[in-house]
Amino acid sequence: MGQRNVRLLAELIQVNKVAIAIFSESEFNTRLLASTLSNRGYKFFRSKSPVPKSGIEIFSVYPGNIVTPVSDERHFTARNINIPGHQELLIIAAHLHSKLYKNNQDQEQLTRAFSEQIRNLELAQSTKRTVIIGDMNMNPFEDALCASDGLNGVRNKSIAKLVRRKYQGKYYEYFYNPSWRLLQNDGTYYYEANHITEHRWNVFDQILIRPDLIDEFDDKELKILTTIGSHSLTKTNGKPDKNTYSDHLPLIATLRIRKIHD
Amino acid sequence: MTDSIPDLWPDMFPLPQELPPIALLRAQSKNLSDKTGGMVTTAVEVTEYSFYRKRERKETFSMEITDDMRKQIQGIQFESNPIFYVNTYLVAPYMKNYRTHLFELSHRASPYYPVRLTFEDESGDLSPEGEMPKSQISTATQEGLIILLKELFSRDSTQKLIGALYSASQAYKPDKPDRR
Repeated sequence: MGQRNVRLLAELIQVNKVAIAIFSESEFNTRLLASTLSNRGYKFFRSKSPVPKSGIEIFSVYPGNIVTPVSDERHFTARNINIPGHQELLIIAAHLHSKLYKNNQDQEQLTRAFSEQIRNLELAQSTKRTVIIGDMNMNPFEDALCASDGLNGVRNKSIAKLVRRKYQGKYYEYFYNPSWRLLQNDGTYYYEANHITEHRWNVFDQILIRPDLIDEFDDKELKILTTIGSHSLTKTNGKPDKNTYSDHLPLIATLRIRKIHD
Repeated sequence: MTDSIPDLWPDMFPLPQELPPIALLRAQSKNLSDKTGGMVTTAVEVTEYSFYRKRERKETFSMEITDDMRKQIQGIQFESNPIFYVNTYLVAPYMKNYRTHLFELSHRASPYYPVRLTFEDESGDLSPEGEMPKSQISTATQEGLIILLKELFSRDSTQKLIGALYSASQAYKPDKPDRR
């Protein structure tokens, strides 16, 4: 990503008043982004991992004592968000296995293991205020994301607020997956191959929210960005302009984090 | 009335001669914590699912395996999926219990041995997906497991991870103890 695109990214962050930005497979100069934003009067910190493993980069308007790394694995990196006066939050930035290299069965098994890693991390961090965000490399309706022993993601808030479901004698906690709604439009990623079933447009980039956080999430503000100012992130045919920008379109989500005494 | 019903259970139950692998691993948590002044320790968790889908069978340990050791360490093929997956994480208590996965050990419910260790192999080439290759090594005995763990803990990659967490923890701990 050249200087021009870093400026564009800085514009995206500033115009949308982004507090936390997450990038996968990013190749831009992280210092240049921070300095470009700083020159525009927007202070942005890079949240560094002590043991980076996933290639996911996290930037934030909050310094390191507020956005703290709590886990790093090959397919995710996790941060504790502790804004003074507000309730804490666990953000898991994920980039799950690609369909280019894994079949559905692989993705299902690996998502079960991912789900178990999240449960154990929640236990270690004593929280259920968890958000997963990132490139799932699967659509919201796929088994791995919906199965109880997968991510147990449901599209209905009232079901998610039941907190958990019992299946074959075991309890599984829900995630609310508002990304289902994004299927109404094109999606975040376009892929064409010679397969008998082809969705072409996919919503691989998603946000999933534990029941404890549902009331802090604003459904109306979840959106896929196709433009930054006057710049279009898509080509004239509507597909992501991967040569100039990225093969994925960015996702914007809003959480209004509850204050401690609310 | 109950006096007339005899106790049908035998007096003694045979106890396994060997320690469960998880006991061996959990004991190492305190040892690492003591060696790093509490800056780095481990968490050992039994999980339902393996973290690894691909079963790549490759022995990459750098140490020379002597004939005596070879008698203790025998490569064993598992017949089907093991029952227990025991995952070990490095943990930095002063960094909000930051954790990162170190290796997975798998074994059947009974007997405890053979066990299989799966870990990332930094000496191999990245997969097309950009993933580290995995290595697996098996042993049939507790003695063999002790030798393998000692080797795994001494690997450069493990030492670097511990060093990175130790160093990062310094910023979080109010008083900074000497490492030794």
